[in-house]
Amino acid sequence: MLAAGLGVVFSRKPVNSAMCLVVAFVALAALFITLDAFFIGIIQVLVYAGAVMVLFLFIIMLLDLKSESTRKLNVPACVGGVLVVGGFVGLLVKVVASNPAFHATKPALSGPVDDVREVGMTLFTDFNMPFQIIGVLLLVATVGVVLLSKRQLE
Amino acid sequence: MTPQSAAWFILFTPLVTAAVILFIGKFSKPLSSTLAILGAAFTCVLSWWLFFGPDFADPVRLEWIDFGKILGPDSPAQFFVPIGLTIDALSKVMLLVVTTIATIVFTYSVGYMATEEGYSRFFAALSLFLFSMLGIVLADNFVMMFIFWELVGVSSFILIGHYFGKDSAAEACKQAFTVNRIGDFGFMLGIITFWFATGSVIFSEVESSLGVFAQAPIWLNIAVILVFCGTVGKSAQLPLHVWLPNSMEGPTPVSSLLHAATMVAAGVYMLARIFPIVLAAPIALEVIGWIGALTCFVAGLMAIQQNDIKRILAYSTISQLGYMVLGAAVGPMWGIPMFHLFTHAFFKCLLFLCAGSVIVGMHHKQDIWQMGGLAKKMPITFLAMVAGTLALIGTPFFAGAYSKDLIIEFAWTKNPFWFWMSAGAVALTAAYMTRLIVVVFFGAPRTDYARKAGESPMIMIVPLMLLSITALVAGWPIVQKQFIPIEHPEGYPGWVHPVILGFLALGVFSAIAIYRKVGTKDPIYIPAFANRLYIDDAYAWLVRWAQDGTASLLAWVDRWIIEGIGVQFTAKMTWAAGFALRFLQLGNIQAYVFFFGAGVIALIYFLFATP
Amino acid sequence: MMSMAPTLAHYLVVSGLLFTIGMAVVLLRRNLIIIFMGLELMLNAANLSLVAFSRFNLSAAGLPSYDAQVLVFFIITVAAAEVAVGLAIIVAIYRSLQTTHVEDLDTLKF
Repeated sequence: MLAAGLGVVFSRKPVNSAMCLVVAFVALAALFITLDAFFIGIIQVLVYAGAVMVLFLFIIMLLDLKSESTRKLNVPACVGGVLVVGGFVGLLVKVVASNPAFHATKPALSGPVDDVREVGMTLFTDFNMPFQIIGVLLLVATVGVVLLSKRQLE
Repeated sequence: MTPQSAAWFILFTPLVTAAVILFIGKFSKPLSSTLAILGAAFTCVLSWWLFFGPDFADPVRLEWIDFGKILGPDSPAQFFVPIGLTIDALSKVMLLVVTTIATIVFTYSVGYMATEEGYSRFFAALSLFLFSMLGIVLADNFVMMFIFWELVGVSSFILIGHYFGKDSAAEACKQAFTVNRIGDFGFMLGIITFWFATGSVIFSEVESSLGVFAQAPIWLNIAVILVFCGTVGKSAQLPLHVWLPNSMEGPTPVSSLLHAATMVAAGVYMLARIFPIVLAAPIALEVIGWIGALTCFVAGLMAIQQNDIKRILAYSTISQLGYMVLGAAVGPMWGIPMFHLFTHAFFKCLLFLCAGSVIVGMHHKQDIWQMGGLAKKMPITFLAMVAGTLALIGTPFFAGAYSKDLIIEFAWTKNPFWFWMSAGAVALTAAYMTRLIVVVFFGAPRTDYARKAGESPMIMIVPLMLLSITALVAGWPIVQKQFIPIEHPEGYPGWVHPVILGFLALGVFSAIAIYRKVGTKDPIYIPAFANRLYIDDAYAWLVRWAQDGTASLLAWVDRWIIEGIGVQFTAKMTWAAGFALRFLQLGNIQAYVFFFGAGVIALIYFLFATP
Repeated sequence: MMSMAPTLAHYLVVSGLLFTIGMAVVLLRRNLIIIFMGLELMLNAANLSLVAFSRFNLSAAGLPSYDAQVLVFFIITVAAAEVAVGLAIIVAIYRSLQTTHVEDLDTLKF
């Protein structure tokens, strides 16, 4: 998965980047499965790899992007980017290493887990309100997209 | 009516009268003047009644301010200011002078102000003045006297500026108040010094605790000199005399009542009131004496060359006040200056009222070189004026001679300079007064106004006649013994009196000789005297210099400091900060993300990575 | 590293590295679409760490705590909506400026 991610960074052509991203998503879904989060894993594949990436590819093809034309390399920006990235990695290692709670192994589960049912129960009882709001959010997003895509605003 | 309540009535009747006139003045002019005259007459009657009664052993007191020991329990200073009325020999005689002259002048004003504007306002202001003056006379402590002192200044301001539409009158009343204020500043410092040292502001208590100054007598002298500053301002001594000639802008009754007889005498009265204290301060006595002697001589010099009838009398007043102050310095008791105050009040008031009569006859023209030959046209005024002049210059058997000669005698015993200056002033007084009489009343009329002049109405003439009598008799020993105690010095040589008479004759005859057959201009012109020794100009220059200097300094501060540093600096700093921060708006998304990432890293570092 | 059982630390490191890669995409690439893809990578990294925590913190009944998984569900939903709207904006930008190069968007520059 990490290799796929690196692929996204360093690919020349946008389509290649998109394909690498798809691979990354699928690998991520596999990781979810190993963590006994079956429902989430399937959702990941369906929504992300299925819908979102398809949308990305549509747009890439719509805009007919060629490979990135080489412009003069903006050195300060690159240096800044590398610095930030390096700093982040360093911090990450430090924080994770310092906390002993992170070093325990996966505890055993009590039995086979019926996670779809459990997720559904939690979603519709404890988190019902956010769920409704998410529905409204999707409606708003839909309306917004339609509006933004008009050629002329009447 | 007990004597105690009579004292309160004397003090407050004029105040009530003034208040009533303020309200009803618009409706009825005759009523205002009647009320004012009745109020003054009432106080006059009560004063005469009190005069023949005994002195009050203790002043009548109303406790007003009592702050207790405000400087701590160890110091004697206790701030206790009562409203107290003292009735003793000094205040009784002063009450007589003030109320009698006030009543006469109020009556005279009815005639003088008949055709002038602001009639009721005038009488209200006069009543207010009477209230303030009586407050000074009756006061038994420094603070009360100071309050009424200032009130008198306010009344003077109102009255001098009666014709407030005239620029010169407005300037004059401002100048009077400001110059007075300068003197009052010293007065206040003196009062505070006395309070600090002796712990009290009440006259009798301060007098009895003078022992406090025994270890540092210089402070007593300093305090007396500071208090004397009030006299210098109020009684128009050098160098604060400049306001008195300009105060002649007010109507003539004002000039006669305030600036001749009573208000300017308040300074001398104050010295008489604290006479035991003054006597105990030898350095202060020197200072007082010099100022008095110089004033009486120099004012006489300035008077010789004045051309306005009221200004001549004004400088004469300054000169006579110099005599009174000199008398306070050389005499062993308060009677010496007070005697001259007593006689001077009567004849100077008379002289001013006569001048007013002349002015009214001349349709309010005041230049003596436009008058002439008025003796035939206004005989009673002429006779009254001659009586007053004879009294003023010190003719034997007239009132002024007795009081003035007394002071000159004492001056001889103290300091020869003082003697020669005051004796020389006799010659000067004779000269300028004779000049005035000759030019105004003798010779041929110089202008149409003079030709058409006529005698003034009865209501103005009767007071003149009354005062002429007093101008004659007020100095006679029989009369004087009734009112004021004096004593003569011993050990002055016999030639003193003839010398004085000689100066007198010199002045009279030289004036007659010079001015007898003179035309429309003064044959002598001495610029220094005519321009009043340029003292007024010096003050004007000083004020202008100080004002311009302060104005430029403040303008500089406003422009460079307040505007430059305060306003512009903050504005430019803000602008500069905005300009500097502008460069963060790079417009480049990735730059923003970079900043964002850097911030997040920093945050995580400080929260989690460092303990 | 594959021989021992993966601990929470491993998952977190992976999540962090994925996030870093996403950030690198945003900072180092100059095409708008690809930057957007980087954003998605970052979101997914967050999802991974959430699921890992959900698995490793068991609730009282010995089951994974499903609160985190519900949150992941929400994040996926919102990310999908966001992608839609963001791409619509990018299309609008392309229509007016004819470019997707990020350095050409500098009208807010000082």
